[in-house]
Order: sequence, then structure tokens, then C-alpha cells
Amino acid sequence: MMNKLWTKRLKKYQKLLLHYSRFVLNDHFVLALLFFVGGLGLGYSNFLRSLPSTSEWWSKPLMIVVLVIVLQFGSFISLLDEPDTIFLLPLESKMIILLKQAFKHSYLIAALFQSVCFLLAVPFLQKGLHLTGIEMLLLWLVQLLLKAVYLERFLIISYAVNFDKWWIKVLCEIAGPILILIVALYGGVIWALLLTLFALFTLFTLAQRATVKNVLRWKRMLQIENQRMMTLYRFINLFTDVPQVKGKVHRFRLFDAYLPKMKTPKDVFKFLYWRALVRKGEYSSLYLRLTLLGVVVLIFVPNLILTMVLLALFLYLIGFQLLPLYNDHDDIVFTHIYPLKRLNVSPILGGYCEFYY
Amino acid sequence: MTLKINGLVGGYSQVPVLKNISFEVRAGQVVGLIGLNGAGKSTTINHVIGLLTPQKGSITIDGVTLLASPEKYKSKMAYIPEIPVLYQELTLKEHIELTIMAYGMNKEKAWARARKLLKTFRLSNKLEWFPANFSKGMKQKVMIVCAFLTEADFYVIDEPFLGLDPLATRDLLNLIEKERKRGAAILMSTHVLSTAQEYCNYFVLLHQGKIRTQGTFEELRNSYQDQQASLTDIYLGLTQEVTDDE
Repeated sequence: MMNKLWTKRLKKYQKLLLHYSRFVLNDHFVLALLFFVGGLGLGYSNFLRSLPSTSEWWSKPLMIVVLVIVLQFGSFISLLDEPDTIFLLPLESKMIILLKQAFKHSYLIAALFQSVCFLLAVPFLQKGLHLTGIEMLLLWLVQLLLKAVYLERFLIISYAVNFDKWWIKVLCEIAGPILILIVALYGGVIWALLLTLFALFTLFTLAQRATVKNVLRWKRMLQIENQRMMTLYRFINLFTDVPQVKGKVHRFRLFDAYLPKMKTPKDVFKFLYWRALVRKGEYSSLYLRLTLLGVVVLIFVPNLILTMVLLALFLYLIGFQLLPLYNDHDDIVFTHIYPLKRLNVSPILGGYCEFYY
Repeated sequence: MTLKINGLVGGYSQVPVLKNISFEVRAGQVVGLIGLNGAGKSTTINHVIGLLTPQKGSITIDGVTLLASPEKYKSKMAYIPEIPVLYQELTLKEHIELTIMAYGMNKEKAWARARKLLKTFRLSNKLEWFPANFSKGMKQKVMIVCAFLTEADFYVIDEPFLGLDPLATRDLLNLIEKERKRGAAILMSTHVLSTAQEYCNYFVLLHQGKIRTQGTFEELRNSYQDQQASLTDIYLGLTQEVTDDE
């Protein structure tokens, strides 16, 4: 039953990813990506050609840093959802089946990603580090096992509170891998492999024990999963609107003194709109980003006419992107209940323009 | 101040939820709008506060419809929603400022009232906080403070007791009683029948979008032919009859 539940969830999740991938991988982005990847590939091949026949002192540390950074990609995908705390509560003892499925899936995805990255590093391992084929194969295995260690930690902390410490996280995700990769590249890959196997075996035993002795930490696992989903949504939100990404509200006390005060009932919407603009993340960050981008572009464009055109374009963009602000308070019943005539938003837009100049 | 609802037919879509509703709320009266989930209480309230437009019939406050003069209609009314609704980006203090400004009240006098209300509901030290992050009960208190701050002629209160602590419930009931004595008209929907029996002086019993019966508690008892019956008994009895008929 739990396996069925997992399959159903995974299908739903993949459908979601597929749905959004259409927006993320739009024509413009794919084109830009092609250029970017092409440029990067060219740079890489030039870099490989420029390498001397003997190993440079920095090539090993560089490889370690790159491998550890690559290791950070691919998190634990548990697909837990907020209502689970209520609806799946009776299945408490069977949740481990779901989590094991989650582990398998997460590991498959992560291992695939690690392998692709490793494959890209092979030319450098050959030319820069002069590793033999068998050494590279073993290093690849080390990397894969390190990812397993990385993910196994999540399986343990879903049950054991005392394992959920920052230093254990650093040890499993950064410090440990660095140490093992140092052993691999400076000592011998085979030793590193044995060390990793030992670490993984230890964690495996700990996980076995943790699941028997403890109950699932619902809230913590939900928190981890929500964080992961939010990171994903925030990325997608760069390309299209994601309903789950609700901007955070920040006070910015510094600006409080400059926000309009209420003097007559006419000021009500001015009061509301200015506060929404400054304090709601989605508007303030948008405004700030576009303004900064505009400033940077203007600084680097010497031609006066082009400057004017760009200025107009940026003003238009800012205005256009802030249009949703007009309807921002519509779903708040009091905006309709207050004995007010709805004022036009244009004075406020005028206000932005003044500010911009 | 009189609210008059006459032959109201309405709802969210073309299919009407409310079928021919007529009742009045007069000054100095607390009218209890009683009904099961989905009976049409909130729909009625949404029509009264002007979020929905009647398909047939009319709603007037002192003879003025919403369409004729929105400002005049709305300036007499304060509303406490069932689920607290707050501006995410405003602090508690700014919510109060906004209310004062929106109703065009005298600043000093309104703030004096606000401070008293804040103290009653133990919110005085939260003025600089964002109420959007409060608990359900505390949000509800913010709604209460902002509504009663206006000293409106007419209060519309939708299911106010959910999530309130016993102390706040008592304070709210005292406030309602005080405002009623001042001459305000109050329309309150609730499931808490024992409280309604005690504090409302007129009842409108809704069932499946129709008015099952209406009147004072005495009148309800008379028509139910049981002088000992509580509001709960009467209500359960009446809805039972209707449900059995179907």
C-alpha cells in the first residue's frame, strides 16, 4: 500500500515538474543555455589544452572542491505533504517504507547527476591529474557512495533527534567528503573507497537502529521537504508565476518615516499601496532589481538617444510589472467594506516615476 | 438605524442559494441569524455587506440601497468576518489607523477608544506586530477591535466566537450588549445557540436558503408550543421536521 502511495505521489510530482519545465525551458532560455554551454565547453577544452604534461600543485585541490560542490546537488525528496500529519498518522509504523522508496528515488536521481558531472570531469582527471582508468572508476564509486552517505543522513534524522545536529550535517555533507577525497587523491583511491564504505555501513546500522527506537519526526521532515519545494518553486518562479511562492513581508523600519501618513480619507489607498510596495517582497524586490539593472545599463551606455530609449523601456517595464499591485488588496473584504470611493491608482504610479528620476 | 431585507433572492452563481428572505434589524436590537452549515447565513451576510448583488429583492439601510449611495450605506456599517482577514503588510497600529481614516473618524477620540479596546483584548503591547502572523484567536480580536472602534450604527458579525478564549468571549458579549444599549443594530450569525438565546432579542432561523421561522424567543416558544424549550430544542425540532419532510 505504501509503495502504491509512493508511486502515486511520484507520478504527481513528475507531472508537476513536467508542467513547469515547459515554462522554464522556453525557447529563449534554451537558446541562451545553448550559447552558455557552448562557451563553457570551448573554455574547458582550451583550458585542458593549456595544461602542462606534469601535474600542477592546484589541480588536486581544485578537483576536491569541484567534487564536493557537485556532491551538494540532489537532496532528499520525501514528497511529504502538510495534511500527511493528519491523514497518514495511523500509518506511522509503515512510513519507513515510504521513506525508503523516497531514498531510492532520491539516490537514483542524485547518482545520475553525479555520474554526468563526473563524466565531464574525466578529461581533466586524465590530463590534469594523470589518473589511470581504474583509479577513475574507483573515484567515481567513492563519489557515488559519498552521495549515499549524504542522503542516508536524512533517513536517520527523520527518526533520531540527537542525530539532527549541525556538525553532523557538516561532517556528512562537506567535511567528511573533503577528508575522504583528500585521502583519495593524495593517499590512494582504494583507501578512500574503504573509508567511505565503512562510513556508509556505520550510517546504515544507525539508521536501522533509529527507525526501531524512535517515531517519525513529522514536523521536521515536513519542514525539510517544504524547504526543498520552496527552493524549487522559487527557481521556477524566475520564469513563471508559481502560486506557492508568496512573497515574504518585511517591515523595513528604516522606511517607516517616509511612508505616507494618513491625513484625509483620500489617503487610504496611498497608505495601502505604498506599504504594499515597500513591504511586500514580490513588489519591492522587483522594483529594486529592475531599477538597479536600469542603473547599470545606463552607466554603461554612452549614447544619449539609446539611453533615453532604454530609460523609457525600463520605466515601462517597472510600471507594467507593478500592475498587479492595483488589485493587491481586492481579496481583503475590508477594502470593499470601508465607506470609500475607489480611487484611481495613477497618482501612485506617478509617484513611482518621480521617485525613479 | 434600520436594515430592511425584502424578498431577497441571491447567491454566488445563477442558481440562487437564498430564496425569498425578508427580515429587519432595528436600532437597539441584536438579531441572531441561526442555521446549519450551508443554510445560507454567510451568503445573507455577504449580501448585506455588499459583496454580492441581489438577484431579486432589496436590501436597505435607513432606506438607502448600496447602489444608490455606496458611501452612505457603508459608512453606517462595521463587519467582523468569520475568518479573520488582514492586510499582510500592515502592523496592528496601521490597521487601526487605516480603519480610523477609512471611516473618517476623529483621530484622538478614535484612538482613545482603540486603546481601551486593545487593553480589553490584551493586545496593547502588540501594536508594532504584523497581525497576519497572529494565532486565529488573536487575529479575531484584531477584527473585533477594528470593528468596535468605529462606533457604527450597524454591526454585522459572522460567527464571532470561534477561536476566542473564554475571557475574550465574555468581553465581546459585553461589548455587543453595550453597543446595543447605545442604540446600534447588530446582525450576528452563530452556531452557539445557548449564547444566542441569552444575548439576541430576535431570531431568524434559516434552513436551506429559506427562513424557517423568525421572531423573539417568546414568539418562537409559542409557535413551538413548548414554554420550557431552549433555543437549541426549538432549532433542532424545527430543522428535524423539515428534514423529515423531504
